[in-house]
Amino acid sequence: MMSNGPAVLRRYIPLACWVAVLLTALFICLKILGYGFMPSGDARRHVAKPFAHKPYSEIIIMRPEYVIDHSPGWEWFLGALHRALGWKEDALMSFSITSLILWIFCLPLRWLRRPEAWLAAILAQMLAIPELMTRWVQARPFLVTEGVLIALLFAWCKDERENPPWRKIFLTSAGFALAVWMHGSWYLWMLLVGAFFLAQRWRAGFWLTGCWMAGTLAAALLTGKPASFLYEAMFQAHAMYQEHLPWWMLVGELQPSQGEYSTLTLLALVYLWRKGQNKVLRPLFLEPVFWMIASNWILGFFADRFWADWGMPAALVWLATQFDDALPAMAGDGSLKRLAICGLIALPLFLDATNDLGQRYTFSLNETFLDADAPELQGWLPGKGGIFYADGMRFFFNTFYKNPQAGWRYILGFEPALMLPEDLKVYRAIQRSGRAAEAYAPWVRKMGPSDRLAIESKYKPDLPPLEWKRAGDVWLGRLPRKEGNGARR
Amino acid sequence: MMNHGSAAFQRYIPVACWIIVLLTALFVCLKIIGYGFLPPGDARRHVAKVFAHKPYSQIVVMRPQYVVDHSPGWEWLLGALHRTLGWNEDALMSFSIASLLLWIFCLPLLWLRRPEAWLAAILAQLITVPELMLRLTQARPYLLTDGLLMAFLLAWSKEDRLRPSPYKIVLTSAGFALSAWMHGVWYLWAVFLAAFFLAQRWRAGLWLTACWAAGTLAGAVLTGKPAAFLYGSVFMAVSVYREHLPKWLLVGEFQPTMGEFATLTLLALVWLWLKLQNKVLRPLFLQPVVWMIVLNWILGLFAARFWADWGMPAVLVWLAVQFDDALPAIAGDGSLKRLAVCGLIALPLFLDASNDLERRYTFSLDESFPEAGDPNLQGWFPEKNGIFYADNMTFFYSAFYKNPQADWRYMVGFEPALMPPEDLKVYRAIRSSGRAPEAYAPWIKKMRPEDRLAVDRSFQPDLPPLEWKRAGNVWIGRLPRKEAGK
Repeated sequence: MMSNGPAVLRRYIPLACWVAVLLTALFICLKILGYGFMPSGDARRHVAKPFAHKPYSEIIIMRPEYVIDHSPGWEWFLGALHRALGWKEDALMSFSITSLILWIFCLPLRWLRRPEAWLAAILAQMLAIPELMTRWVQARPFLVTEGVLIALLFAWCKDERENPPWRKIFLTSAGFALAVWMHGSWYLWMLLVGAFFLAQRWRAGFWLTGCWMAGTLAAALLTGKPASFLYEAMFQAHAMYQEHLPWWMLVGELQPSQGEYSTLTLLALVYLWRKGQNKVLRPLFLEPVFWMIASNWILGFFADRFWADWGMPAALVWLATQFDDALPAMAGDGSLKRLAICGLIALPLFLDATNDLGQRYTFSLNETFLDADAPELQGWLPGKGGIFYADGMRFFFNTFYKNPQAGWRYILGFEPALMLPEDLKVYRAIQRSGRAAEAYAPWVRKMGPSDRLAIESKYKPDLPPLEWKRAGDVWLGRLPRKEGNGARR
Repeated sequence: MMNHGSAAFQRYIPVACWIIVLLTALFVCLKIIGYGFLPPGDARRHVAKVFAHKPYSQIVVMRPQYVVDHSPGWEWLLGALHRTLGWNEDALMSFSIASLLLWIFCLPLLWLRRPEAWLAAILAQLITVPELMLRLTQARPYLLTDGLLMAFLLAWSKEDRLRPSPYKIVLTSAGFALSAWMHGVWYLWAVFLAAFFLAQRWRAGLWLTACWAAGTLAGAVLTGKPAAFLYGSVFMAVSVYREHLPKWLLVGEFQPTMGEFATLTLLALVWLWLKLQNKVLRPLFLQPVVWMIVLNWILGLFAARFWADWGMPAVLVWLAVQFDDALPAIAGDGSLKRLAVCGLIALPLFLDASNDLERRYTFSLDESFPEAGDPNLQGWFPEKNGIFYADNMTFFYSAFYKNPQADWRYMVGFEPALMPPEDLKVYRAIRSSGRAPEAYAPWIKKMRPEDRLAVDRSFQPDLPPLEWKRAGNVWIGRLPRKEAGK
C-alpha cells in the first residue's frame, strides 16, 4: 500500500482525470440541451439560413453596401450538415451549442499537463462572472474565434525558439483562416499581434503577423468574394460607430464594461498566491497574455466585446497556466489526492455551469415564435413581397427562425447599422423615445396592404389607422382591409 | 504613564471590550425593531399560530401526509411566552427577532478569547454579502440551528482528545435535540457529520454521530409524534425535489447560488494574509470547518439554502478563529489599542447592520394586511369553512398573521409541496405561465359561494365570472352574488 493509493491504481489516475474532465464538458452540454435551451440572437438566424435558400439581401432590407455576411463559413458549415445528414433546425441548433462549448472546453487541454487546470480556470472565472456561461452558450461563431485565440496564446506564449516549425506556422495560419472565415472581424486579430509586440516578443509577433495575413487572405478567398468580404467587415464596424449613438441604444456587447472588478480581484489573488509560494514569476510586462488582458480590459471601457471576446479568454489562459504550474506541487501525478482535487473542481463546475439560474436556459420556452402556418394568424402576416416592420431585433431572430422560407422581408434584421438610412432614423427615434407612438408614424405612413408592423407589448398598441391581432407577446398591426376585399374589418 | 494606558486602566479593557460587543449586539436588535420591522414569511405564521388554537391542517388545505409541523418546538416556545407573560403578536415578533439575532451574535463568544473577533467576522461577511442581515433577521428557527452549528464547530473543531467530557456530550446532544425540535430538518446535520469524517476526525465524528442520533430522537419524542415528525421532514424535502420544477419556480432558498465569489475572495484574502505573516497554518483539509465550507459551497450551487444555512455559518466560524488568533498580535489584552480596534469593529458593524438599506427593515410598513374586521371588506372574506385561494405564499403569511382565528382555510400556505396534487398543479401552472388568466380557470370552476380568490397585482384582474374588490395591493374575487342575497 502506497501513501497515495496502490501502485496499480496510480497508473490510472491521470487517465481518470482526463475522463472526468471530458465527461464534465460533455455532461454540461447535455444538461443544457436537456432544458430545451435555445440561444437567443444570431444563433437563430445562422440555423435558419440553410433553409432559406436565398441571400440575406432578399431576407432583410439593407443598404446596398451589404454584399456578403460576416460569418459565411459558419453558415456554409451548417448548410453542409443539413444537406449531408438531413439535420433539421433542432439538430443544427443542438450541434451549434454543443460543438462550440466543447471547442472552448476541450481545445486548450492540448497545451496543459493537467486537464483539470483548465476546468479550474473556467470555474474561477465563472464564479467571478456568473454570466460567462450565458455568453458561451450563444452558439455563435465568435466562439470559434475565442477557441482559436486561446489556442494561439497557449501555443505561442511559452517558447521563443529561433524559428517556429513549419507545422506550427501552417496550423496557426489555418487557425486564423478558420476564425476569419467562420466569424469575420479579421481586423480584430491585430489585438493579438499587438500584444506580442508590446511584450517585446518580436520574432513571435512577426511570425504571427505573417500567419494572420496568410490566414485572412485564405479565408477571404474561401468566401468567393474576397474584396467584398474584407471591406464588409470594416464597413459594418465603421457604420456602427459613425452613428455616434448613446451607449444605452447599442446591443449589450457594444456597451462599455463596468470595469470587471471581480475578474481583476481574482487575477490579483492568484498572482499574490503564486508570489506567496516564492515562485519566480516571469515579469508580467514580458508576457503577451498579460498585454492581451490589459489592452482588452482598457478597450472594454469602450465596448464590452473587447473584454468578453478577447480579454476574458486571455485571463482564462493566464489562470490555467498558473494552475497548471501549481497543481503538481499540490498532488502527485498518480495520487488519489489529484483525483479528489479533480472531482472538487469538476463537480462544482458542472453544477455552476448547468443550473438554470435566472431562467438562463429555459427563457425560450415561454417565447413567442410566429408561425406562418398557424390558422389564427392567416391574414396577419405580410403577403408575398411584403415587409415586416418591427421595433426590436429579437422579432427578426425568432420569426426568421420559424419561417426561413417566408416570402416577406424584414425592415430590421441582425444589425441596425445595415438598415437603409431613413429606416434606421425611424428605428433610432423609436428606441430613443422609449417607443413613443408618434415615432412609428413614418413607418405606418409608408406601410402597404401587404406589410405588417410587429410590436412586442403587453398592451394593444394605439397606432391608428392600424388594426391589431395579439400573438403571444407580440401585437401584429396591418392597414384596415377594405370591405370589398372580403376580408374582415 | 504606560504605553497603552495606565495599569489601573488595563484591567478594565477586556471588560470594556466585552461590554462593547454585547451592547453592539443589543443595539443592533433595538435599532432594527425600532424601525417597526416585521420579517416576511414563516416568522409571521409562527407568531400567528399561537393565537389560532388549531393545527395547521385546519388552517391550510394540505395533503393527508402532513401530520405535524417541522418547527413544533419554536411554536411551543412562543405559545408558552404568550400564555405565561400575556405577550401579543407584536411582543412575540419582537422577541423572535431579538432573541434569534442575539443567539447568533452572542452564543459563539463563549469559545473565543477576543469577543471582538466574532464581530469582526460578522462585519467582514456583512460587507461581502450585504444581504446577510436580511437572513439573520428572518426571526425563523433555522437561526437557532445556525447558532448551534457554529457552537458545535467551535467546540468540536479544536481538540481531538481521547474522549470528550460527559458534560460536552450531554450538551451537544441537547443542542441537537433543541435544533430538531425547534427547526426540524434533522437529516441535514448529516453534512456536518460528513465534514468531520472527511477531515479525518474519526473520533469526534463518531461521538457527534451518537449525539446527533440521541438528540434527534429526543427532539422527535418531544413533539409527541416522533415517527410522524421524523417522516414529515423528509417527506417535505422529497416532495419539493420530486416535482422536478425549474429552479426559478422555487422559493429563493431552493434556487442555486451564483457561486459566492465575494465570500470566496474574502476567505482567500484572509488566508493569504495569514500566509504572509508566516503563520504555521493547519492543513486546510484536516479542518472540519473547511469541509463544511467546501461541501456546502458545492451543494449551494444546487440549492442556496445549503450555503446560507450551513456554509455561511462555517465561514463565520473560520474567519472568527483566524481573527481570534491574529488579534492578540495586533493589540495586547489590556491595551488601549485593543479598545480602539474593538470600537473600529463595533461601530461600522452597528451602522452596517442597522441601516435601512433599500428599505430592508421598513418595507413591511407599506404592506397590505387584509383584516376580516375591516368594515370596507365585509362580504369579501371567505365565509365559514370557505377556502381562500391565492396565487402566492405572501398572501397566506400576511392574512394569517392578521386573522389567526379566522374560520376559513388557505389553499396556498407555507409550502406548496404540501398542497393536494391537483391544486399544486394549478398553482404551478399559474406561476409558470406568468399568472396567465386561463391558468386560474380550474380554481375558479371549483370555487363555491363561500370561497374567495386573492390576487396580488396593481390592476383589477380579468377573471370572469368573478367580481372584485381591492384591498391594498391585493384584489379579492368572489362569485357574483344572486340579487336576493346582495
